[in-house]
Amino acid sequence: MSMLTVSGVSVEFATPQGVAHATNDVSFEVRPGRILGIVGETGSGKSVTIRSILGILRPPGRVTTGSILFKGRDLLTLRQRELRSIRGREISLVIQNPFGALNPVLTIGRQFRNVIQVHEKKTSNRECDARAVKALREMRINDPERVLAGYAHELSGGMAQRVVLALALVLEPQLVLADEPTTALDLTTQRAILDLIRDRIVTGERAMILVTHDLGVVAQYCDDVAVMYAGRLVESGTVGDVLLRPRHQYTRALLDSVPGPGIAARGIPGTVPNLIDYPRGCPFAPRCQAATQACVDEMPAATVLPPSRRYACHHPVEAA
Amino acid sequence: MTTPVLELTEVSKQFVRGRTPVNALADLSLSVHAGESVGLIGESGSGKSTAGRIAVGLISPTGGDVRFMGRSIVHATRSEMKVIRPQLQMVFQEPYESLNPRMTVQSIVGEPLLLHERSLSKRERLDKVVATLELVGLGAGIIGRFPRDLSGGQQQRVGIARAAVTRPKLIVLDEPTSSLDLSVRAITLSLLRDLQDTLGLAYLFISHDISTVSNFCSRVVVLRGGHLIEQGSTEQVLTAPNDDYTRELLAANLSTTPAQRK
Repeated sequence: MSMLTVSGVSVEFATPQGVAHATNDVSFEVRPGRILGIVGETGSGKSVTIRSILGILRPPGRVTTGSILFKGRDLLTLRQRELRSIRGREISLVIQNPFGALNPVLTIGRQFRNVIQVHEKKTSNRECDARAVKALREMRINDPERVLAGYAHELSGGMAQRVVLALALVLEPQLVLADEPTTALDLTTQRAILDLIRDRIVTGERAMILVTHDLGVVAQYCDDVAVMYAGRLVESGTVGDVLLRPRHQYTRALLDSVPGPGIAARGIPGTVPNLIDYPRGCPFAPRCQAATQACVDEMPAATVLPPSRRYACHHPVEAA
Repeated sequence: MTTPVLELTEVSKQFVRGRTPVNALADLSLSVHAGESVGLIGESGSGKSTAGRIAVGLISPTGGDVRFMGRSIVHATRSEMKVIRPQLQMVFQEPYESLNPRMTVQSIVGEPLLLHERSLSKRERLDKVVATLELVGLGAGIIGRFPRDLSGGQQQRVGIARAAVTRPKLIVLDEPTSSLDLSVRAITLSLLRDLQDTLGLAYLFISHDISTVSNFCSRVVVLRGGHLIEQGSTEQVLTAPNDDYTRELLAANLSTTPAQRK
């Protein structure tokens, strides 16, 4: 059973230079009790994909085709009022910079009250505070009362991100979208926070989309992974399948870019294609070692292997 | 024993925040020899960037001494520093923010020459800029462009070219690949390695990324809260650390081999 089904979503940004194709025909599923990692490099369309789910694309971005089914409803057809009742309560968002997510002039407690009362108007302040304390405790914050009385600037980066996660989870949403939630944090803090997230998502039969460029985070904390390149979803499947047995040439090249002791990372020469003058064929073809004329001429169709494997490559990596 | 290119001896740095003094660095001693890459690892607030800035003379220590090729840069006169500065360069973490958005690549890379090699003619300066850009894998066609026209990887190469144009002996690399995409990171690192071989450079490589350091550096220094935790060969520190904190750091480094899970 899928909780969220994204089918054929394309997003365009009309710019003075022409139309930028930010995402093209993106399809994936998110299942309860699981974390889907979306990996990709700058400009691959990861954040745009997350934002299109919540209907908060920055202008002039707009979804041109596709559907996003959440609990049987297509989010793309809902009115703003209906979306507002879903955002924060059923689907919440965590962004990379916690200080950008918190209001600097309101106490943390006040921000919890705002989030709760916008959805549940009759909840008393006292009740809100009690729920906030509980949510902060679940994020392993030892002195929640003191944090609630204080302001964002008094918190360290790690503490601030825990507060943001507590805010995102206080209404018990089924789906949490997290855009690089631990990228700005130290390794030890990152690990502690990801452990907490994983525990809350998996045991609660919730689901999460975790956008990251860190393959280590995907390998250790995600169940499924979708690899994006230049606005296309090039490969997806379980983390074990995709990271250990990649089929798309881009996934293979990306994995070869990870340095290790005694292993010289190879990297990928060249740069990502221009999203305005978008290539007709596979967007990775200009940088791909296995590319042929067919790759330049024609976008490969997706090969689908049930239950969840999918890749779009004319010359898939042979299984070892 | 040869004289190290860079030698920090019991370097301390105290900042004053409000009325409270903060010890950013306490008694840090380390050395970097010619042609060597030394990694400086630690988390935010460990003092690694402060150490890097002190090493190139951007800020002065409150205690201890910094020697470049045996000469103190803490007690150097202005005219002595004029000779030393071009030989001690730095590359910053955020390529775009460290480049002047209103200058072309040619002016950015040529600027250190205007300061340090004033006898060069315009033509000679341009030749040197182009030659250095080629060393970092950028063609001469790029010289008229502005930083915003370049990809992140290209911007960082311009930053590296700017540091290399005066043919320094040591470059402090402060997280030079942290803001780059994975596929570009490896390319940038191999370029830095080639540059090191060609110019006989020494690097002080500041990073929080253990995988990168393990691959790039022959020696590693671990910092925490301004204190040196341990130092040694990369192999020893990263495979058989002596300190619990180093072990904790290594454990937090996430492997890209998937966790065993149903």
